[in-house]
This record gives sequence, structure tokens and C-alpha cells, in this order.
Amino acid sequence: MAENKSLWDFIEDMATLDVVTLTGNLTVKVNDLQTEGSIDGTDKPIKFAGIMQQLEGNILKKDAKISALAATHVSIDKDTVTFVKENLSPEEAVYLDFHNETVKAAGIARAAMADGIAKLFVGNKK
Amino acid sequence: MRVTELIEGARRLQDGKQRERGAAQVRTAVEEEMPLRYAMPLPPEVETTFHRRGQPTRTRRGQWHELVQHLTDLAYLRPTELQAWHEHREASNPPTEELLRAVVGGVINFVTEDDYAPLRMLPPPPALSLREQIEWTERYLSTVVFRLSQLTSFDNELPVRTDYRVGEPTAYGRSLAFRMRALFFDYRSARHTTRRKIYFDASLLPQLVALTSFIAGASTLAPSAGDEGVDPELQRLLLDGDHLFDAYRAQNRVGPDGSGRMYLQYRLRADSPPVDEAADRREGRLRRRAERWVRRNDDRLDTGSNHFGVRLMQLSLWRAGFYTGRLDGDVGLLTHLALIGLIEQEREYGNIRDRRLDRVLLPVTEGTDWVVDFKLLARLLERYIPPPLEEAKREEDEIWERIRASGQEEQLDEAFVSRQREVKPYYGELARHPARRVYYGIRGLIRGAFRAVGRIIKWVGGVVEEVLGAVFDFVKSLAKRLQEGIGMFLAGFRFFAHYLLGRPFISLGAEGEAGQHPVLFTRFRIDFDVVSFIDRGAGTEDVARHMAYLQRTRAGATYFLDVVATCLQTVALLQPPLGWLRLAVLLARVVHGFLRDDTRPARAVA
Repeated sequence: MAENKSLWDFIEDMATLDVVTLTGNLTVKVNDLQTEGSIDGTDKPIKFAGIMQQLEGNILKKDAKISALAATHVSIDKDTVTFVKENLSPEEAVYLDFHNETVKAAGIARAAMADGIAKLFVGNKK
Repeated sequence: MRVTELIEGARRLQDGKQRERGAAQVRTAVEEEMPLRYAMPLPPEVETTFHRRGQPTRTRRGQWHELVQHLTDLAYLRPTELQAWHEHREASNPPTEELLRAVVGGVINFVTEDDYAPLRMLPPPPALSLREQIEWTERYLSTVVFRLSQLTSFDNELPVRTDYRVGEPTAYGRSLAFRMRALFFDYRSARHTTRRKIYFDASLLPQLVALTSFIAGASTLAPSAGDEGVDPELQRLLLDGDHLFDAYRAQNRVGPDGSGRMYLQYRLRADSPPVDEAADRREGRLRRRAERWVRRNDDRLDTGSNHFGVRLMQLSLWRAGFYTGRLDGDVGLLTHLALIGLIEQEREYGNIRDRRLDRVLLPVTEGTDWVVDFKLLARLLERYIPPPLEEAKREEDEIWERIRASGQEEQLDEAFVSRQREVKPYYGELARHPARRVYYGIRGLIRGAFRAVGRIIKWVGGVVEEVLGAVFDFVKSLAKRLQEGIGMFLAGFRFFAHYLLGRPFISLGAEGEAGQHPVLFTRFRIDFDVVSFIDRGAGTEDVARHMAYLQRTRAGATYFLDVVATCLQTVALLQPPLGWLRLAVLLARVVHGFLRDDTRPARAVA
């Protein structure tokens, strides 16, 4: 969110949902990273700061080919507009499923956490 | 870093001006400063907690120790496992995988058996993977320990259950069985390592009848073998140590309105230290008085009522922070010194005249036989009864005001994590004495500290007097605040940071060429807009795993977001200057409020 937004801007932002899924070439070498903390909560202890540095380095490379696979905009009245890249490969079709799940998950998460967010940013009305 | 910067960050987050900057300030304070200040690892991991990789993690370890004690008391763990746990602790070794498996297994059994509403809001514990079970336990440790502490507390923390049925296999049934052990277990028979009742059942009813014979007005409550339930008043006597104490006083007519006198007698072993050799005429007079009491008291030394009274006295001294031995009805040196500690603290900081204090504990014979004026002792112990929550807050605030007024708040802030070591010897040496217990009731600890704030001020300033009593209570209350409050806040903040402060979720796919792993990440913005990135080399399983990661995290976020948001809202309202420890106490109160609110309807996680 941009700096210095008003409360109304925030409420308007909350009323809509934008989900973007990108694909490209971003890999990291685990051996280069010191172990500390876990990344995905399962079995890969990796230093968070290190992986972020690698990612940022990769994104800034001139030859990094990052493209949008899908983008979805959900408005307050639940009207939904989705852009999907043409000619999806079989792998990209799996990524599209992921994108669609993320759209659903983002909506559920926002609804579930609305009270908490309102409490922090709009004030507790109790 | 100072608390002021955290407050600034929280305010920026809340009012929307420079929200990104506020988010960065809050993240730095919480993710970098707090773990060091409070000796709590972030993220909470067993490896970090017990392997001590150069970071202070004492507070988190303390919370695990409390967990193990409660699980043992409720028979989810065996006493031998508690002993093994503390043997590892004393040797500075992490618990073995087998021990950890027993502990998290106990936690999962407990969560399955108990109906505490917040537990129903948690995602279910993982069924198979030990690593995932440990992570689950770490994540919800404050909630689990809070509830367990209610089930093992004598501070009237647990509501009576009118629908309770004898023999029911619930955590509440275990709690009642634990209380019967605390009041009646015969340690002389040395059966405690192998034979324990897990749940309260019909075989314990005779002991309950015995209980009614020691207390006033309870004869009509005595259950019979045919009863399916336990009278609510009897349950209350088991749940509320002060109510039980009062009933015992009333039976012996030494309550606040009673006219009788009552004396507890005990005999110390021969190896106990002698009385102060500087006996003067006054002491001789007191001893003659004790002898008269004993003659009139008709030799109560070996009566059941006397033993029961001694056990209640131990229970009260334990809760007041003076006694660190086991509750067994036998007076040894620890009980004796606890009594002396109580009297001396009251002599120095209380408002009872010395002449009366002189009469609380009297030697009958030189160094071995003693008499306690139970009526006077009860008057002293009344002053340590855990106050209602609001009063406890007021007393806690006053303690901190006194520390601030003494100019030592900053000094305590800097030194508390390391100075906790000074009270370590008083935690009972559980590796060698597995039947001893540490008292964790927060209201009682605050009251105990409040009784002698002056002693705490001196301790903060480096003057070490007697540690048992007020200082011990203060350190334990503060450690408890950190464990419960900061433990839950930090566990929840990770989710908060992911969903509201822009910290990305990152997964690595299966290893590919030249050791490279495809990267998948998802970043939520504060308005829940989402950007995901998937490396083209990621396979179907990598994507599924990333999705599962997001789902798991969302379940935690749903549980924690409210409490973390309220904590940050509280922070935004604070007025600096403010120390880190004082901040922790205020956050812990927010967390405590959430955990106490067990009337909330069970809410499914998203």
C-alpha cells in the first residue's frame, strides 16, 4: 500500500481484491544459505535474509524473464475479472489452478481476519 | 532499540500515515529486539529453545518446563518422565526424541480430552509426524499451558461442573484426581512412581468422605459409592485452596469469627538445624507457653486432622512463594524454613506487631518439636490469598510504579534475563525431587510480590536478602508474564507479519540441476491483495506443497490475528517512556484476557 493513504482509501482497498500470479526463472541454491529458521514450516531450514537477497538479485537481472500468468480482480459486489495468459503449457495449467485457489483463499482469509484488521486500523468499536 | 520506536511504528500502522515505515519499525522491534530482550526464540523452535545457539531462550524453556509439570500432575506424563526431563535440563542437554514424543503425545491427549473453547478454535494437531506435532505444540504453547495451569491451580481458576460424573475420562476428571493426590497421597508408602489414579473414580470416594470429616458443614455433602456426581460444593473445595483452608479453620473454630484456638504440632528430624543458641529469657517464656499449648492440645501430632492441617499449611506456604518442597503433610526442614521465612517477611514489611508474630511458631523442645498457632498463621496467610484480577492488576501496577520511582526500571530491563538465574536454586531441584512442584498462579504470585515490594526494590538494586517469598514471587510472576504474553504474541506475530506486513511466504521446490531449487512465493499486502510467483521449474508437487503451506498458515492466522491486532492497538496507545518489561506485562494482560475468555463460542478456523 502506498504511503499516506487515507482511512477511506484503506477501506476501498479492502473492498476489492487483486490477485496476480507471475512465472519466470527464479531458483536458489540451498547450500549457499546458512541454516537458521524455516521457510515453509516443513523440512527446509534456511536463512530467510539470505534467500531474499538471492531472490532480489535474480529479479534485478536484465535477463530475468518474468511474465504474468494470471490476474484476477474481485470487486465489492463480487464481480470478477480474470486475465489468463494464452496457450498455457501443461505445467502452467497447474499454476493456473494454484492461482484460482489463491483467489479463493485470499477472499476467505480476508473475511476471517476482517474483525482483527478493523480492530487495528479502524479502532475497536466494542 | 527502545520501546518508543515500537510505539511509533504501531501508531503509524494504525493511523495510515507512513504505514510501510510503521510496518518496518514494528517488524524490527518484534522480530529482532523482543526475542533477545525476552529470551524467547523467533520463530519458536525446539532446536533453538533447547540447543541454545548463542541466543538467550530461557523464557521459552521455562514455558516447556511448566508444560511438563502440568502434564505430569494430570497424569499425561509419568513422574519418571518429569524426572528424566529435569535430568536433561540440569545437564544442559536437550530432551531426547523419546521424551519429546511423550510430551507432545501428552499434549495431544489433553487437547482431545478437554472442552476448553479456545482449544476447539485451533486446527487439530497433526496425527503422525513428530516434527509437525512439535511445531503445533510450539505454536499454541501459551494456549495449552494456560489451560493446563487452570486445571492444576488451587486459585479457584476453574468453574465447578454440575454435570460432572464420577469416572468420566476428561481433563476435568484428571484435575480432580490430581487434587486428591495433592491432599491425600501417602508418600511414605513410596507408591507414587507407579500407582496413580488417572481420573477421579469411585475408588477415591472414601478419601472424599475423609475430607468432609476435616471441614465444617460438609458432612451432608459426603458422597456414597452409588453417587454418579460429586456435589458442587465438594468440587469447589477441591478447586479452591482458600475455600478449603477456610472450611478447615471453621471446623476447628479458628476462622475470622471463631473463638477457638488450634495448634499444629510437628517434629523435625534430628539433622535439622538447632534453634538460635542465643536463647534469652523471652524465648524461654515463649517455650513455656508452647509447652502449655501442647498439654492442652491433647497430643495431636499423629492425628489425621493435624496431618491434613499441615498439608494445607504447606499448600498455602507454597502458593505464597515460601515453600518449595512437596505437599505431603510431613514437616521437614523446607516447611520449617518456609514458616520462618513468612514470619520474617511479615516482620519486616507487614503490619502485624512483633509480639504476635513471635507467637506464630514456637519451639517446644530445643530444636525438634514445634507448635504453630494455626489461628495466627491463618491471619498471616490471609494476606497472601490471590486477589481478584482487577486488584492483582492494581497491585502489579504499584510494584512497577515503585520500581520506576526507585530509578531502577532500566537497570531491571537490562538485567532481568540473566538475573533469573539467582532464583534457580529455589525451583525445587526436580531432577532429584520429582514430587516437588513449582507454583505458577499469576494472581497469587503478584500478591506475594506485593506483600514486600521493598524487598524487590532492594533485590533489583543488587542487595540480596532473602529470596524466598516476595523476590521469588516477583521473578516468577514476571517470567510467567513473558512466557504467556510474549510467547503468544510472538507466535501470532509471524502470521500477522505474513498477512498484514508483507512478509512473503516462500517455498522451495524439489532440487533440480546443479543443486538449484525452484522458488515459489506468495506475498499478501495489507489489503489482502496477493502476488504469487512460481518458478517455471516448479512441479505439481511443489505447487501443492506451497498451497498446503498457505492453508496451514491461514489456520494459525485466524486464531492469532485478533489477539496480535489488539496487542498492537494497545502498544499504539502507550505513552513513552516505557521499559521492555513493563511493555511485556501490559501485552501479557491483553493475552491473558483472550485466554480467560472461555465463554466464546468455538469458532472454526478458516
